[in-house]
Amino acid sequence: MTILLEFREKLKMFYGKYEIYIRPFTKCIMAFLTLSIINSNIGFMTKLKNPALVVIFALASTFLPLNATLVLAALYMVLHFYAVSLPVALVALVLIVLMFLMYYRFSPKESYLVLLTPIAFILKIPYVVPIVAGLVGTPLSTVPVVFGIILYYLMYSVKLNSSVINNSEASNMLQTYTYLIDNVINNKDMFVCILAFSATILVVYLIRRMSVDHSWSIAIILGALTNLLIMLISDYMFNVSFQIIGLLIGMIISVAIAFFVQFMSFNLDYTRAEHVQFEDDEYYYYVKAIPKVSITTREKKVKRINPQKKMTRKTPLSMTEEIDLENELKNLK
Amino acid sequence: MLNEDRIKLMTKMAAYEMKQGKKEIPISKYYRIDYITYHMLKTAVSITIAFCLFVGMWGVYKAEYFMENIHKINLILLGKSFFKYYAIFMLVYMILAYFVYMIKYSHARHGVKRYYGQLKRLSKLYEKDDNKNSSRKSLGGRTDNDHITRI
Repeated sequence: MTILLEFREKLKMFYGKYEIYIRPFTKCIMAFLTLSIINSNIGFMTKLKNPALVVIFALASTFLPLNATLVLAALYMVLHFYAVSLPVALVALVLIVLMFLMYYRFSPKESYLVLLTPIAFILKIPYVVPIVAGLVGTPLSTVPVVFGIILYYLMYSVKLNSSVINNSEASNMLQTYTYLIDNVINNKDMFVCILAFSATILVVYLIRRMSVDHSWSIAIILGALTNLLIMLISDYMFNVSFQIIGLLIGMIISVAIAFFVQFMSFNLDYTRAEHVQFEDDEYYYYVKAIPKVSITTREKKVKRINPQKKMTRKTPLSMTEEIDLENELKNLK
Repeated sequence: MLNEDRIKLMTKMAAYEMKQGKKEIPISKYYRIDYITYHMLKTAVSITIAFCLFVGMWGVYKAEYFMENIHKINLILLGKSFFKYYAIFMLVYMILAYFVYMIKYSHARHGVKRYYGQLKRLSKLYEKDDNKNSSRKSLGGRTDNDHITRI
């Protein structure tokens, strides 16, 4: 545990020092991953699949805000859908606009969850999303997660039925549209996921906020159980076909990731280096403020010669006294 | 002369101005009721558009049915049921918006209050500095002069 804690401290220091480089780098990687995953899953428009284009966009997103990356990814998705057929692109576009109108105004900070949810689904660990969203977010993050689920299932059904959708002629647009909506609406998996994920976010959030010892860990475990339970019950009730083994493995990995997130973010603010400029009547100031970090090194073990001694609370003073005593004993010998 | 305390304070304040302050300072210039009402109105507009999109999607989805049965449908009843859903949708969102913006406003107030506290401290530091300087530079006269006539 000490090694992990030390590692965390070091990471924190590293982040504080090089934050100015790390943030754009992470953004770049995230944009690259997102666009590649979109390309590999619904890459219907061959022009967009050009790796050079992906790299250019990823590099561009280093200096763009995160929400610009979001817009870019949405655009990519809609264009790919457009290559399949117009109605599909329209449905996706309407969904994104709805998301913008209904949620984005309230808290734009958490809208990255819209992207993260489909990616987690593709990586087969969707269960991590509600747990982490409940841990670091608010109940409001249910909305982007739900939109993310719908987008994923839209992608999924387009991918499955691409031949059917592709073959239908332009005159049959209405039919394609109806077919697609039917496909999405009648997808019980999707509704079960929406229900389970919303419930999980709420459970995790409510438990995390309680003032109980280890509330974060309890929240993670109970959240995962809630998720699992709802999935299994609905599996039984609605005959939804979840693969139980896959579900369990995905859940275990998700819980592990959630614990990692908890470890990295619990009670920690990654205070960042500040670069500010200001002036007063006499000077211009260009200040770079680096957060102070203290690394906790491993505690020194003190071997006791007299083990029958009662355990006392260790304070720095008592520890020095102990060491002195040992020296004195040695001297006597 | 460079004053370390002042620079520390100013750095903190500049960091706030650059980040949270950018959003919070404009918010704090509203009265609470004005801020909440303004944003609730904005929400109402976007919710109306969203509802229209929903209805549009549903309408296209049911287009064939409408084409065939348009003469049988009681349009007034349909409109009424639309209105009912719209009202429920709007009500839920208005309540949500009220709470969200109330919390946002109180957060902003809190941040700005601290910022003003820092401003006050800064001006006190300046005053202290000025006093020190002026006492050195004073050309004469006593401090217990009459404060009206300055004699």
